[in-house]
Amino acid sequence: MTESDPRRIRLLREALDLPTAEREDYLVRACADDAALLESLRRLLAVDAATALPLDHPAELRAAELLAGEEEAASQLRADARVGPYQLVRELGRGGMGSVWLARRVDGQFQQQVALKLIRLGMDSVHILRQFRRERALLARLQHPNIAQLIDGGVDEHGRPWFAMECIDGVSLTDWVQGQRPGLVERLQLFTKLCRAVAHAHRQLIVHRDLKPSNVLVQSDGEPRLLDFGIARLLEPGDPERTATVQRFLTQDFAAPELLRGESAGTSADVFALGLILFELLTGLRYRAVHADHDITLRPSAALTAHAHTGADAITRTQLRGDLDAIATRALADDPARRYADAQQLADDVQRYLDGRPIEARPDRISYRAAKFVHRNRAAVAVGALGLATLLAASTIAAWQAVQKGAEAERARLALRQAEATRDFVASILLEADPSKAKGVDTTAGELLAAAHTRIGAELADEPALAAELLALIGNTYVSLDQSDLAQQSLREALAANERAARPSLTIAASAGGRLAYYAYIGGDATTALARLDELVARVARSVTTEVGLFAQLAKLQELRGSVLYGLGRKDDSLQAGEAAVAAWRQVRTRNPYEYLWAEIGLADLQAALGRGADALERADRVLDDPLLHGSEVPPSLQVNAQGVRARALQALDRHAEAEPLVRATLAGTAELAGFDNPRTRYWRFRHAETLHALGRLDDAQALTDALLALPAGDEASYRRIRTEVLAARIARDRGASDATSRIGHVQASACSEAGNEELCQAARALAIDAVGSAPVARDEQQD
Amino acid sequence: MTSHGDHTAALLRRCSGGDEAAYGQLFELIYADLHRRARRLGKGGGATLSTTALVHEAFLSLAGSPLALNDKAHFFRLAARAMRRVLIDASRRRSARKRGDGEGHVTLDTSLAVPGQDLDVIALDQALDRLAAAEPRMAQVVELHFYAGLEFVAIAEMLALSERTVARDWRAARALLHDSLAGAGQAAHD
Repeated sequence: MTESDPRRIRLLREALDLPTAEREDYLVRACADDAALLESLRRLLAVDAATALPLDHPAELRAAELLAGEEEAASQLRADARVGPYQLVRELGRGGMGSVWLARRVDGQFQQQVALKLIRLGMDSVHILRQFRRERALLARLQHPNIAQLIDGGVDEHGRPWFAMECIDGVSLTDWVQGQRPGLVERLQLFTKLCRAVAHAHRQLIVHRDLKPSNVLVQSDGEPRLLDFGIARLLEPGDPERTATVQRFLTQDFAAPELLRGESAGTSADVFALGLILFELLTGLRYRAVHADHDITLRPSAALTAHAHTGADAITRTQLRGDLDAIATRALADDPARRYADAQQLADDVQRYLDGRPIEARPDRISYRAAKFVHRNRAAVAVGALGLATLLAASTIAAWQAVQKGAEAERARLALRQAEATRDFVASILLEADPSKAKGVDTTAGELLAAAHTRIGAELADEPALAAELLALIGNTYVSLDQSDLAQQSLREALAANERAARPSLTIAASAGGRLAYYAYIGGDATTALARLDELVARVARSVTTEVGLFAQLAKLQELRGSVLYGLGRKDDSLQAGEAAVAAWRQVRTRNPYEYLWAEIGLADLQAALGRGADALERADRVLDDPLLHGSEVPPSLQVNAQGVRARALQALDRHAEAEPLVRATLAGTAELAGFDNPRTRYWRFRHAETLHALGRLDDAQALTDALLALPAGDEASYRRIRTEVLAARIARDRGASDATSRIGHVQASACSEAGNEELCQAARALAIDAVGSAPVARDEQQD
Repeated sequence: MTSHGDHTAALLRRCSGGDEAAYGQLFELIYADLHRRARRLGKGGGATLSTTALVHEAFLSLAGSPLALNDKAHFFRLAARAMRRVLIDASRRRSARKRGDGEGHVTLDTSLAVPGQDLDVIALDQALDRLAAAEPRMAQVVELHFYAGLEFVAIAEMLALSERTVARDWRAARALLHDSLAGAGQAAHD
């Protein structure tokens, strides 16, 4: 064949030895007799000039790739395979990170379908899982109508991390544009929703980092939903040396310049990605594909000019010129400090355009220059990350111009003092993650908080009131991150700082003190918790009429106090505390409608538990009739629980036949909201089993308890499990099951063990006595 | 470590004496070592993608001790052969898998384009055999550079050539092989 033709090889070698300019003449002369040979030699020279051909990459890469494919295939997933508690239904797609499957719960009678994302083998699963555990609380809190909710995560039997997400029925953004051909206004309205969703996540300390059109699904009702929020973050390497690996998995077309440079990136990278999405929405062109000169940001209108369009698109150059060009250009600035400070500002500017008001995005605005100033003088600004947002919000242009070198520290303090809104402080912490502020440092929410914590101790010693406020904020953030030691430390410091202040804030004393009491309580020290709460309640109650805002604090303290009293066995006192909490909330029910309703529901539940079924039912019906419960923005969980508490009341009154459909509906609602494995859902599964048992539907009841007991104990409180075991034993007895006796003996042993509680122990003993006529001799006699 | 090196050195000496069994044994040894390393590389040691030379690592681990230039050259020629084999075997297994699969997977995200992914290793192997028939030295340069990952200067030393000659052989072979692969690809599509 051709590669072994000696004449061709000789001529090729000779041509390659010549300077490029002389080769053509030489070949034309040498191949005067053979036009085909000349053609093939020209082709060979063209190949020679090409770069990045397959043979330019070492063979081992290809080998590694093929073998990796083999491993993947060996663990290839098929429909019906199980991943965690899910069963795969069908593959929805796959990409660099792994594959996405439609999956459903295997352990439920309720259909809960999820989109299950399986990360491919080879990623650092241990690290990913650790990250996930650390950020789970944050991600679970991320709830927004335009963000697909993350439900759960874990590692499958092959060691692949997986994430279960709300399954969204929709088309990708690109398909939406091509299919629906929406007009400019419609596109921009959808875009502002995306920006606001991203801004919402940023305020919760969550960045997306892999925003792109394929991560946006548009539902048939036109609402966009963002997928994979927070996932890319979890997949980032713990070991900086592995960064290069993971960079390969980032979608290069949509990654911000600083991400491509391998720097760490915060919210501004998401702003850039939103800019890319806007560009694509406006032009139908992929920015990176048409953007040749990387030093200059490409304006959308210029892109339309340069790329003769298919013509089918509704948007014209004239529409883009001016404002929309300016907005896109600002979002796409190479330097993060030149972009919009956050997604909210981008949304606001697009909204201004839609409303016909003047936009903010003009390159030389004062805010831009101020941002540059802070950036340039970072070392001089004593409170380094006091935050662009804070600075800009707090400073007038005149103040900014008055800043002299050396006066920064004073000024920064002033700005910080003005950051009364806690949100601004969170924004300032987030700005720490901005590459222009913290180059190359991989910052997690925890690290940011730790840095902020240190800063407060070092810089605000003379400002105890401000320090107390910020420390309480940090403490509360640690609470939501589930870091109880750090939370308690910060809250104690907040209390101490608060007491040092000229006028200590009662709100901080109540909220931080209450939280510490809570920790004491769950740490097993109910007595200390109660003493603390009693003192706080007395203190707040004295001032509550003068400061209306304290009603909420008082109510929260009483709620907690009620739980502690209940735990101590002082049930009637507990009921009183619950009534006091409801009374306090009622004072501010229009301002805190949901808290008020929750308190009513909680009290009704307590009444039902204490056997006051009639009171509970009356209260539940009042809640269900309350117009506040039926407002358009009421969280569905509230409605579900209001219904649930009515079921509880009916159960307490032994009206099981009426209770059963309500229990079932509550269970379905909870499963839909929280997932089937959630402790709340388990609780209602238990209640359902109980109801069915009471109705004599023993087979159904047993199926339910069997399913519950088959679940891994996990973080479920042991007494809940024992409670289920007691019920199961009771059902077994009523069915006359052969193993009933041994079951009863077993459950008595565990109920009366250390992990059980007195009430369950009594129930189990009663069961045992009833079953065999006398209590079996308890193996351990420490129970009096 | 030393026992490895001594064992390899002994096998290499028996090979140069024309011992077929020793050749086979050494080949299997290198093959297994390269296969293991390539698998590990594919498993996510991506950070090292651009820096490793697996054959060189294999050499350090299997031979280690200083070898005569002749034995060293022999080792790398064998290792290049072994790498060819690793690629072909993996590629055949993949084709078998694909046939078994029935349906191909749709790739939604092409961001993970691995360099050289579109290389048909079997067609390359055949083209290289044809080239070797006409230009054995050129083929050897391809084996040592592409499969064994050796630099031109090391190849020049082993083959007793000037670096310039090695570079020119590589350039010509690179053009010829790619041209041949492109033609094969087209033929296959027709």
